[in-house]
Amino acid sequence: MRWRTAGLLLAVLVIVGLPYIVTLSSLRSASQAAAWIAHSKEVKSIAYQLAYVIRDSEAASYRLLAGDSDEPTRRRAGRAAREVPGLLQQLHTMTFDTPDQQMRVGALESSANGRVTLMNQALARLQQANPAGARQSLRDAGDLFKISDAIAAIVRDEENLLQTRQTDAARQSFHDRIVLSITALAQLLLLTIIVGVTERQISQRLLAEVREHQAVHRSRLILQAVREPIGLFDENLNSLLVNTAFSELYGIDPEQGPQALVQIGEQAWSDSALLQRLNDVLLRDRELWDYETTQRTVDGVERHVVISARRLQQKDADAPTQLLLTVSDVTARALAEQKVNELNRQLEGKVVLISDVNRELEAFSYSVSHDLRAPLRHIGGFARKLEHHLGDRVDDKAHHYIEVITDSAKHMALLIEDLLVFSQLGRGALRLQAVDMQSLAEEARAMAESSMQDRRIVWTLAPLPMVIGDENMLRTVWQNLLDNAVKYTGQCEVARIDVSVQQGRNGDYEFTVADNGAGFDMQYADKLFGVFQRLHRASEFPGNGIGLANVRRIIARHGGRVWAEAEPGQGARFHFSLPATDAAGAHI
Amino acid sequence: MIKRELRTILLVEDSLADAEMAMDALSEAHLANPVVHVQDGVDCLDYLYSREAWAERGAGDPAVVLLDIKMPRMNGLEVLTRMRADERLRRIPVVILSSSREESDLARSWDLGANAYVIKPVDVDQFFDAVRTLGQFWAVLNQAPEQD
Repeated sequence: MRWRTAGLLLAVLVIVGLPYIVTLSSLRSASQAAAWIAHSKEVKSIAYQLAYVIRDSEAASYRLLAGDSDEPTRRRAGRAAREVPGLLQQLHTMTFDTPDQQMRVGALESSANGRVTLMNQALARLQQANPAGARQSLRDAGDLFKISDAIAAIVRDEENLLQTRQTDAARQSFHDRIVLSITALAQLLLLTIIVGVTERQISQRLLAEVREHQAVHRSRLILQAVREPIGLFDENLNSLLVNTAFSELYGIDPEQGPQALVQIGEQAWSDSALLQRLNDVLLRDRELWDYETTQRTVDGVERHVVISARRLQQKDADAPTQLLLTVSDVTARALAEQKVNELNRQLEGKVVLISDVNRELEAFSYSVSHDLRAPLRHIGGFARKLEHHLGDRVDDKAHHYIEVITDSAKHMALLIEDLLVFSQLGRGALRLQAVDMQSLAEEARAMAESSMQDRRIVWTLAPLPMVIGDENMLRTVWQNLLDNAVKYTGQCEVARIDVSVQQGRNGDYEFTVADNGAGFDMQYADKLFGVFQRLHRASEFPGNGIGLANVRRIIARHGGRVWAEAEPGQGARFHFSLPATDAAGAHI
Repeated sequence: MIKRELRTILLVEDSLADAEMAMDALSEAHLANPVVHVQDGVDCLDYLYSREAWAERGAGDPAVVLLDIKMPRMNGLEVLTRMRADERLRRIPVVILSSSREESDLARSWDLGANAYVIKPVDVDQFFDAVRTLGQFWAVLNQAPEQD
């Protein structure tokens, strides 16, 4: 800013000062030239006057000589003697600065003085009545002291001088003109620059003003569009500016002028604690953050609101302080929170219930594991003791009875065992790890085959992927499915068992175990995976109906699904799905 | 050299039927050691400390304690805890003989310092086999340190 002012001053100086100086000097040289011309003319005129006075006196002297003796002629004859010294003095004065002229004036002076002296001599001789002498003196004066050459030289010299001075003056004035022209050009240039710069600054300022105006307009629009109520209040808590949301929430007529905050809404702002806090904000510049309260707004709704306020710092320290007030209506949030809390409470209750149920189940299964098995052991043990006790008295019938008792006890022990395993599958935590389904299936096949001799089974095992899961549980799945496949193809001459996998569009794996065995009627398919549910007689195919129930429970715990399709005598296809490896954890 | 008195086998079992079967199995093992049956944990400790009903029995630790877990008054795990906490009893071998195959029972028994954990088989023959083997191992094969 400062350099700009300095530049402007310099420019003004150049534009105004320089031409002034140039013009001044040019004027001075012009007047000097005029003075010189006048001076030269005067010098010439004095020289001519000198010559005239001398000749006039001579002419008068000749008339006196011719006998004319009247007074004017006498005076004219004496005039040269009277006037010449003054004129000479004048010439000396006027040419003192020019040595050449001084020299010539000196020569003129001696000639003129000589001539005047001879003229005086002639006048004196005339007085003495010596006309011949007087005539002689006059003639001598004209012959001996010629002045016309000297005067001509002085005039010529003066003219030469004048010529030189005029040439100098002309050159000077030419220079001045050039300087003036350059100055004028510079003025033009500077003015153009100044005008250009000013124009640019003005247009920039105009643009800035337009932008500022737009910005103000935009912020006003934004303020109006904000869904949160916002209001600006003066130091007495009178409204200065409120946005639409504020007006709507508290029923303010936008056309109406400033309103006191306490008057706004129907008692919405009458909370004295809140007003105290707002005054604190205004007077002590304390910020108010997230002040939670409830307000009854004009629509008659009790709302939960969060109020924040801060003092607006004006640029001008003396300007009155203002209060910016924002209100967040959190009624919906509060309701949602309330609902969430309610749900959480319910959930907690359910969790307690569930853990109670789990504890009971635990106690139940412990009791089953411990207490139910003891009597079974006793039944078997004492049946054996009975047999020993009877010794030889045991006939076939008694032996059969004891056998049935023992077998039944064993069978019940097995059922209890299975039930315990089933309940354990539902209770224990999953131990997740990467599981190679291929090796689990191979293992299960080997086990299933080992218990079956003299069977022709054609296996087709497709390559199986790695999954994330509980290895022991998934082993149980494969063992059950492959055991079943082997078991239910028992009546086939050549059993075919296919194990395959395919990946669904969502990345889930779908494993399939297909056989060409007894199959089942799809009518009963829903019973297939129930606990102790069987679709075949035990005499036909042994088993107690827990295997597929275990499979379903395990697969469900892994986030998968199990289903089957079959036709009596046409074999069965069992499918189970497992979620994609990376997402497996999400379902457990 | 006079052979020392044979150590007893102490059977701690609340179920009389189980106890009878276990005694049968032990007798089938043809062991020379006497078998003593007590019916709960309190009784067991009385025997071990030779007090109350067992004040007259004289000194001498059993060769092995066959200990059931679930019993009235004081259960097997409490008995085990006290035995392992007592300088005089901590070296007596204890075999847990229980119907429970619960993982928690197994873990706790081992943590408390049981010498073995045997699940009573439901199958009669397996049960007899198990108890016979136990008696033979702990009364005959196993070598305990000399008593003070």
